[in-house]
Order: sequence, then structure tokens, then C-alpha cells
Amino acid sequence: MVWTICTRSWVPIVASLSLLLLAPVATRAEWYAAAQLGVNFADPLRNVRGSGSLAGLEAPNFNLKTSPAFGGKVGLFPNHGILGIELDVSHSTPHIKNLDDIPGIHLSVTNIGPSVVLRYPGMTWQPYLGGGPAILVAHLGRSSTTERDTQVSFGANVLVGVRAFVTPRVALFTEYKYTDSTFRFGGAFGPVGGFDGTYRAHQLFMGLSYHF
Amino acid sequence: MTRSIVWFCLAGILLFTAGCAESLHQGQRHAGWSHRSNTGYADGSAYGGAGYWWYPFGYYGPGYGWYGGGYGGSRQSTSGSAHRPTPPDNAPPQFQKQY
Repeated sequence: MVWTICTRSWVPIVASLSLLLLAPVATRAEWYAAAQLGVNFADPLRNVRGSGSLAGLEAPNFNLKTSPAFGGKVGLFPNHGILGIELDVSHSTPHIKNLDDIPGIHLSVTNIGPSVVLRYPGMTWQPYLGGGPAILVAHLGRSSTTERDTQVSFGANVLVGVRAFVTPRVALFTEYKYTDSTFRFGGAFGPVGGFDGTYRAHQLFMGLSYHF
Repeated sequence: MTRSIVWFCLAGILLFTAGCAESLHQGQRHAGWSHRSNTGYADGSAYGGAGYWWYPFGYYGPGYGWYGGGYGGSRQSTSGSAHRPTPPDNAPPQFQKQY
């Protein structure tokens, strides 16, 4: 109880201090927003193991379909510098392919990734690379063998790309992003249990960014 | 085929138009350098030296920014156990596959 009260009273103070400290950086920063479209090349779902009452069982790799991907990002480079941060959200549908006679399963993945980005601050061309944690929201569809299930897992993103300005404020960019995580669909097979599997994806994007 | 043409056109537009523009923000930064370097030649650090590269958030001087941290993703061991338990009858078909 005491801890709750203390926490509640500290939150506005910490938030206000953060705003005060970040305000000078934010006002002198290069903000940008971008939209992107691309392709998601997912590796097979590996290390598929049962969970719940299926714990200890193993299954073959689940092959995933190559799918379109789309998303957006916002970011900033304080003082027009070389180091910045961005928040990237992308969505793809790497459906699970059929396993011999077992039909495939619909799968959608939303990747929410804050990243630290390092760029060469060129006038026209700006290569960049970055990385950071990823929150993956994956939704498994109902099929003849599975129930609907949504899981949220943590992972990591690594990205590399190049941006080219086509007007002083608008740039085209192309980007490669690698994602690594472990999906845990605990209720995929209903009351029987679920499965875990290692998810790794390669994404290629092209996009348009506007620099405020 | 159509998809290839679309990608080719997009790549062409990128290459053709990219040489025509310069970043507004980087232009402002370069303008700042010119201003500083023209006010006497005593300090050459505007174009070179440690000042150019050692302030990761910008080139206007020290005292700005913070350092972000990295992150290590979770990984699962690929080495499976030598002994595989026999799946029960009610196990989903995915776990009854031989591989």
C-alpha cells in the first residue's frame, strides 16, 4: 500500500523531470515519420516444442510463407546528429504452411521495435544501421488442429538501410531488418496445451520518410 | 514480371531523383559550420578534429543527448534431447510426425 502511494506520487515528478531534460533535445532534433512496404522472408519456425500437457514433445519445423509486410516509423536525431532513436511498427502474415497432410495455419505478426539508430549524416545519401528490442504480437488462426491464440513475446531487431533525399524534406529509403524471437502459443491446441518455437525473419522494405 | 518492372521503376526513380536534393537539416548543419569557420580561422574544429565525431547527437557542442542501451534477444538452444518421449494419443498431429 505504502509502496503504491509512493510510486503514484513519484510518477508525475519523474515524468515532468524527463520532459524538462528532453525538451531542449527534442526542440533541436530532426524528427521524421515514414511509411514502408516490403516483403517478409521468415525462416521456418524452429525448435517447436509442446507446452502445457504437451511439454517434452517435439515437432518438426513449421515452414512459414513469404508474405508482404507494411508499417511505419517515427524517429528523431537530436541536433541533426549521427545517433538517433526510432519506433518502428510493421505487420506481416507469415502463414504456417501445411505439414504433409496437416493443413496450414494462418499466422500474423506485428513487430513493435524501438531502436537506436546510427547514421552517416550525408547531405543526400544517409546509410544507417540500428538495433533494439522488439515486441512481437503474433496471432494464430483457428484451423482443423489449432485454436485461435494470441501471444506477445520479446525479441530483438537489427536493421541496416540507406536513405536518399529526393526533396529537402522527403527521402526514399530501403531497409533490411532481421528479427529474432521465441513464440509461445500456450493455448494453440486448446485445453491440451500449446507450442513454443523460434521465430526468425528477414524483412526488406522500401519507404518514404518526411523530415520535419 | 509486372512486379519486377514496378521494382525496377522504383529503383530508377530513386537513383534518378536522389542526386537532385539535399537534406534540409544537414544543409542547416553545414551552414552552421561555414558561419563558424568564416569568423576567423583560429578554430579549425568545425570541419575536423575530435569535435566533429565525438558528440554523437550533433555538432553544436557538448552537453546534449544521452546514450541508448543495446538489447540481447532471447535464444533457445538448438540441441535437442537424445530421448524423445512418445506422444500420447490425444497429442496434436504435428507432434506425431516422424522427422
